[in-house]
Amino acid sequence: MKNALNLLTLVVVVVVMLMAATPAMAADAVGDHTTLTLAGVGVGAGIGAGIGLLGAGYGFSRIGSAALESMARQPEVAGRIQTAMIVIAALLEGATFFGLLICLLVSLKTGS
Amino acid sequence: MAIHKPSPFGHVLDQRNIWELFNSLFGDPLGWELPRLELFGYTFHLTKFMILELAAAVLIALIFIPLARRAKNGDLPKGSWWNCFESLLTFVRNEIARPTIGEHDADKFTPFLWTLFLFILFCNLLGLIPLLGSPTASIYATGGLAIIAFCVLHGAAIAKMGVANYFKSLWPHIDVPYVGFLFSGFVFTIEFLGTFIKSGVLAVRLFANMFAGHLVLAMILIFIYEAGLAGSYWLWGGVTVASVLGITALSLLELFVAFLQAYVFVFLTALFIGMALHPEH
Repeated sequence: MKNALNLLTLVVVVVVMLMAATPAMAADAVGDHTTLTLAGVGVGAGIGAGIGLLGAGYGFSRIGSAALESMARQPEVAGRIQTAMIVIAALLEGATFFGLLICLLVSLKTGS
Repeated sequence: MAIHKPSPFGHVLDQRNIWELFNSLFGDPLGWELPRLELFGYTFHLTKFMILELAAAVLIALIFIPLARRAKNGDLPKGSWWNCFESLLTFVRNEIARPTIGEHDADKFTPFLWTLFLFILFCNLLGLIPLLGSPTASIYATGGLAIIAFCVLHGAAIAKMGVANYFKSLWPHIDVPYVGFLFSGFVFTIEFLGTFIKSGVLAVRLFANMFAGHLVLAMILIFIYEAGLAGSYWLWGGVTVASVLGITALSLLELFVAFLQAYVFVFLTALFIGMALHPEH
């Protein structure tokens, strides 16, 4: 069993290395790489999406920890707490998507 | 090869002229030309989402009208499909309508909440079927649903209390001597504008969830195309396997999100109706 697991790990590593070696092998064949410059509205959109995700992660962690603590204190109302947790998480996700939508709109704006 | 680069937005958003089924089926794109009507110089397009919404409505009618007829006779539900659909309806009535609107008025609004829930649910679920799409991934569709929720919200309270009494109920009673009027006016404005904002947020929440979910799905699948451009079979094979496994997991998440977003939309609509009908002040 352990030998099979070692063999599987070896196979996975070899496959991933062959996949990762592609740019080196294909560099001469394809040739043109576009250079990316760190400028413009794309930076703002990217940073905005990342900060929005931070807020969402913090909010979900607060919701989850409060829900789990109260479920542990009072197991008989665990069903109602779970329903409320799902609803609040969906509301928070709506707010996150607002920010994400602004980032998308800003980054896809092709002049107006 | 006659393939143009697939665009993720094209797969998620509405399509007006051609319902593109395949980007390249054995080299050529395959699409269905959508009907349009030329009238008074304007062209009215029958878009892909309009057809899908009609399909959802027809499906709901085909399933639930016979079910209602059988329930009217007083039969108990037998079999898994009848139980499944009836449990959806009893869930909306018992867990959403009755707790939020109150026992007394819930039965008046339950048919509306049923229609809203089933329509949003079926529209969301149509997006999970391969060549179709979910009409709720368009801000206009969800905006229309939010406008309907807004009208029901205000209309229900106005029908119950009259226009003047309804606006009087939005005015809080603040017992501060001279500037109480200003505070009350402030809170009244916030409450009134809040109904507009809450309906708008309902629309954007549903739209963004469906749009972003399917957009991410499409982008992960397009990685396969882009890996194929790199020229190495190892990269393409690995990316295909990882992408398809990821898509399977994400589609299960999308299934959960479809049900959840329908539930949240209807729950919040019922909550707002309950708040309008029974002002707590």
